Amino acid sequence: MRRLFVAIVLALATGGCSMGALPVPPASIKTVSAIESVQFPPLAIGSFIADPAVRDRDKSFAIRGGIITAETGSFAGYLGETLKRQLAAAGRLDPASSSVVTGRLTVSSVSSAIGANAGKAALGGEFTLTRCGKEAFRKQLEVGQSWDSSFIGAVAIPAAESAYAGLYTTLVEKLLTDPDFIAAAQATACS
Amino acid sequence: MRSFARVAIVAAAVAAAQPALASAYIDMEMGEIKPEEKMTVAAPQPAQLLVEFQRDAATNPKGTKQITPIITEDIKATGLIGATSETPPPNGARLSVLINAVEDKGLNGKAFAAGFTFGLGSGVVDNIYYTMTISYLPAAGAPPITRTLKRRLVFKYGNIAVPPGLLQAKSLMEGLKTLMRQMIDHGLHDIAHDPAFPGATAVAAATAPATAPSADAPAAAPAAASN
Repeated sequence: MRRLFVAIVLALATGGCSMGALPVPPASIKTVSAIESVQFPPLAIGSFIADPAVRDRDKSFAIRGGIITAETGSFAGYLGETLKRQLAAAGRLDPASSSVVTGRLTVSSVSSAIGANAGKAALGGEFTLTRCGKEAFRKQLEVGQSWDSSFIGAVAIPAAESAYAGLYTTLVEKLLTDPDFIAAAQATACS
Repeated sequence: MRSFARVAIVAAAVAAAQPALASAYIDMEMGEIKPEEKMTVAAPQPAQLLVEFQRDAATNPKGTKQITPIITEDIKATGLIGATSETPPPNGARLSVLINAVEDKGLNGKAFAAGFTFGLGSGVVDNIYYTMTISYLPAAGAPPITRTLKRRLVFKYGNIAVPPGLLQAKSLMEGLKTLMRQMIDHGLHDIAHDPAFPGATAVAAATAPATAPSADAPAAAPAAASN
């Protein structure tokens, strides 16, 4: 019950916890630092689409009656924009680059079951890096999180939404620090 | 358990609908920055600005979107940083502000796991702790100058005593704005004391305002007392 107040206080203190569309995550300070710690040329971001397995929840989905949507219109696009924002903040985004990252949202789930550590969210994507039209990298990456989930919807829904949204930054960071991805991104020659 | 839930829902609804019954307080440990602590820069350098709001150490996009304009204005009001941008400027300078909000689960412990923090009176007191990490890179590849500041925002509803050493804010949002502004003021001016910070000099005592604001006076606006 106390968490209800915390949720409301945090909501008021940060301007709102309504079920408005999720804004694209900010450039993560940790992720930007991670990108800058390795050298690779700027990348372009291509299309991000939803896998058929998650297509029915790509535009919106419900958490205990609360409808979750993304400002980008789709969660696959949300993933692409999250990646784009991190690269831009690190000075590694170039729409004209011959190295293009595309993606497919393959896992997107949230459970706000009641109980200690019962709230669970998972996010996964298959990422592809093509250079001069040739595939240089392809990998499926997944991240997840669990939390204590209240039986009060006013607490549980924002908590679940926040946990789910946070996974986009986590997944993108996992991609950008993946050794195979870095190795593929570092190569510059088209041949 | 369920009665607590109903009370919480009703109380929260009343608190939202009748803000006069709800009060916000900030700790007074930091207060306003003193004139002798202030720095000035003749030609503030542009910098990339990264603001990230976290709740329990997890990135919170909605919170970030709401708090970024507040932080941006607070930074501008210090006069220490030039134009800010989302992408790196030519000089490679970067200012990052990471804010992590955490409720005091540990302080309340199991006794309050299922309900309010009831005290001698009838009401609710809740504490939210903010940790702000400000990091400035004078140029790409340069060592960062970092400061970490901690503050507490207390929210009260009902007839209940709050802990000592707190200053009541006009509203919850004003309390939050005051906290953020004071943290930015202290953190950024302290960073400007670092020799690696470009072009900063101490504000001469003779040029400081004759009537400096009270150390613990609440702010009327986020950027009111930063120049």
